[in-house]
Amino acid sequence: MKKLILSAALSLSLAPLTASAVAPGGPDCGWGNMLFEGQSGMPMHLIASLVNGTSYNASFGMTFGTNGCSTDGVLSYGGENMLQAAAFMDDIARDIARGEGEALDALAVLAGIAPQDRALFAQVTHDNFELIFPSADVSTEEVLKTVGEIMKGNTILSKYVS
Amino acid sequence: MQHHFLYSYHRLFLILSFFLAATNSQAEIQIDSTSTRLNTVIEKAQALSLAQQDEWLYLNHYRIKPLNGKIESYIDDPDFFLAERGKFSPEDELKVTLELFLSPMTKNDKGEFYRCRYQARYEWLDTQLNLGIPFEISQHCRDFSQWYSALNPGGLTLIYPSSYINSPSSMFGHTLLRIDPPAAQNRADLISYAINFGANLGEDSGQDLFFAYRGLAGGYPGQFVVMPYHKKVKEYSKMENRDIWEYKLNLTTEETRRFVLHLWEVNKSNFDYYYIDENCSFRLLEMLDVARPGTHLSRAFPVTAIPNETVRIIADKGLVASTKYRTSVMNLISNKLTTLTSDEQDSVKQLTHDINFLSNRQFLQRPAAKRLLIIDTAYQIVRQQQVGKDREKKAASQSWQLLIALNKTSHEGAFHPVETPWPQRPELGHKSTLWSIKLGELDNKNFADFRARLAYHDITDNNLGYLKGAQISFFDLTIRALENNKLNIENLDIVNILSLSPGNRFFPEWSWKIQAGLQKQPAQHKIRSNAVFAEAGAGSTQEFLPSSISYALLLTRIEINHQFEHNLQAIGGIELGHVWYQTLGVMHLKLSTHHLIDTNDHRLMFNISENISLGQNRSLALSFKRTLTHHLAINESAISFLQHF
Repeated sequence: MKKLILSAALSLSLAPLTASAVAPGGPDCGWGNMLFEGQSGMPMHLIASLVNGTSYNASFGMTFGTNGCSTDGVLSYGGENMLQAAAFMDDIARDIARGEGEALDALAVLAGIAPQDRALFAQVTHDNFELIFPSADVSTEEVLKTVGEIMKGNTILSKYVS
Repeated sequence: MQHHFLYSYHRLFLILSFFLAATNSQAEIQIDSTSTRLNTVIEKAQALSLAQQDEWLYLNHYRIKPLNGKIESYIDDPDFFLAERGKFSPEDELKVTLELFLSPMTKNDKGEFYRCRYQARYEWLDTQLNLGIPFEISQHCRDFSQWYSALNPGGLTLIYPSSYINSPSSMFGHTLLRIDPPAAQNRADLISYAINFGANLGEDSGQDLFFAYRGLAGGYPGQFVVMPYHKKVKEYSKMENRDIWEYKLNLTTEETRRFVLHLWEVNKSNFDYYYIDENCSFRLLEMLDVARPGTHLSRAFPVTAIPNETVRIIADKGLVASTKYRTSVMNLISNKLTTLTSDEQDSVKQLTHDINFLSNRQFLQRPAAKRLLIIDTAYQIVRQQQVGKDREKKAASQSWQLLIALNKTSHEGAFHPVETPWPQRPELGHKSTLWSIKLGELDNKNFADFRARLAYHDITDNNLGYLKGAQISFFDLTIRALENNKLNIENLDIVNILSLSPGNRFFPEWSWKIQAGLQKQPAQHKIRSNAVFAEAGAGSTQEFLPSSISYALLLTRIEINHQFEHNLQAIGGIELGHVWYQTLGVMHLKLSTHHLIDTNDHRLMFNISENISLGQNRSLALSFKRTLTHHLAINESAISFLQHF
């Protein structure tokens, strides 16, 4: 069981980021992203796609070249990076709205939920959609925090949140 | 800073140990026994000719250069090789590697233990030479251990984002790999890691022609990059509208481990990158050869490496355990729209503009399952329209309200996902090179054509495993023999691309063509006059009939022809066409006009061809062509046999 994962994410999101603190995982990592964050700049230009190229700084090389989302440091709770969810939060929102889907499965895995409890996780989040996504401007941290609170309130899922 | 510090510290340690060794006879014996051991080990390695073994050659990416027969590594990075002449000498590299392994506590100038970096080398050499040198990976290789546990390798999946017709650069496809966690952990594919080999374009990559030239001619180093798979899915599924095929490979845990250990070895190493041959496809096969050396995948690769050939080789060599198809969001939307009536499609359109339509009486009378489908489709359309844009407050609010409605409606009735039918798998498609023989009659005279095409797919070729409406052809040459035994170049297409995309009512698309080369064309009173030409067209494609597409293009053409008064003419024209995909073949009807602007002449051309498949790589074609000009009326009919290989 990975109790630590979500609680670490939650405690981080509860503490306001001070100006001196570098946003975990780098500034482009999705920290502070709102739901339906823009995706401009992503489609690579013709040549890059022609040679399947990457425009990353060469030093990224074999490290996790994720546009600034390194897994070094604070964000690698046992290798899990909850903030990854920011990158596909619009799909997660759609899946929670309808109660199933691949993005929701991925969120369950990131939250450390065992396979036998994932259907329950899907059901509980589906039933609480409006609580988790109270507006179009909700941030990734707020979403993760509410999901954690909902899990705490569930007798079976509470074991995944310390 | 930290590296520097470690390095100095390490040097201090070396100097210190040197003094200790000088004053300690025990240490001398140690050094002596090490050098004796080294000699024994190297002798044994030579006796077994390990430097020539496939495993060693693959681990260092050696190949024999076809031009001079000499051995050279594809890796173009001095940091990778331990021996000075390592790039050219498997023997030297092996010797220095063993030397360093026998003193396990030596580090490179980056403060990294050699044993940490070259674990795939060590493990193979250990199985061959029983080295048994104690070394604590978990203790000494922290960077590696962190990286390895984050990758969590249990298996590998070959990812093939197929081409999308309106994106010529994607037409050859691309291949990458995904590292999957052990199946028993039951995790999610989206958060696995993808390994992409591509050109490293540097940070400030421009978009000029020089850039293009360097990309094709090999001016950029190629590198492997690891990134979360969901980033790749987003890139292909949403940004580039490409369907993704996922081939789970049947590698064992041990083979997967070997692959990942070797991936760490080539960490940040530069490879040559060439678009045509030394590209992503070839590199991935080479990496898989390290994982399972016996299959020799990279040696089975043809000279020009087209990514769908990678899939074919991997399937042929029996590496595929299972296949999965991931539809692009655009195709998903198109599929959903085809299951809706035009009235229901109107509701989708309303919802993408006006959220208040949710309380429309007529809309609310529809069954819940239908409303769910309509709302969900509208949501995906609104999201897809936002791709490549900055966040827009209005669209975000619209999207959110659609999700609220989706959520509310889903409590009224079950959600029925629309199943997307799988297209034929790309590896079942015909091979990319073609030759063909054609016998026919032109203007009552017999002829025979001999044709060879380097790549890749004609609109009339067997469509199985290929996209409908797409043609991409490079270097297509036809030599014609006439009754008088003279040989002539009948046709040479340097490039011939046709992109006929019907789009859908929410995302209309352009159709276009580009063609350039040599042709025989009627001019003045001459039936077959040599023409050098370049032609481009743009227009639209519709699906009026099932299994067919109909298109109309406006053409502009430049032609150099000695029969013209001024040699060079600008030509305008129209091309109307219809492609009918049948169970066993493809029929293409085409009517095109050329208006010669200077001479005020015209050409009117009518073509009909029927291509009948005789199997995956073989077909028979019948064709008839009638050309009319001011002075001429020409008929050509022919039968041809085509073979892909």
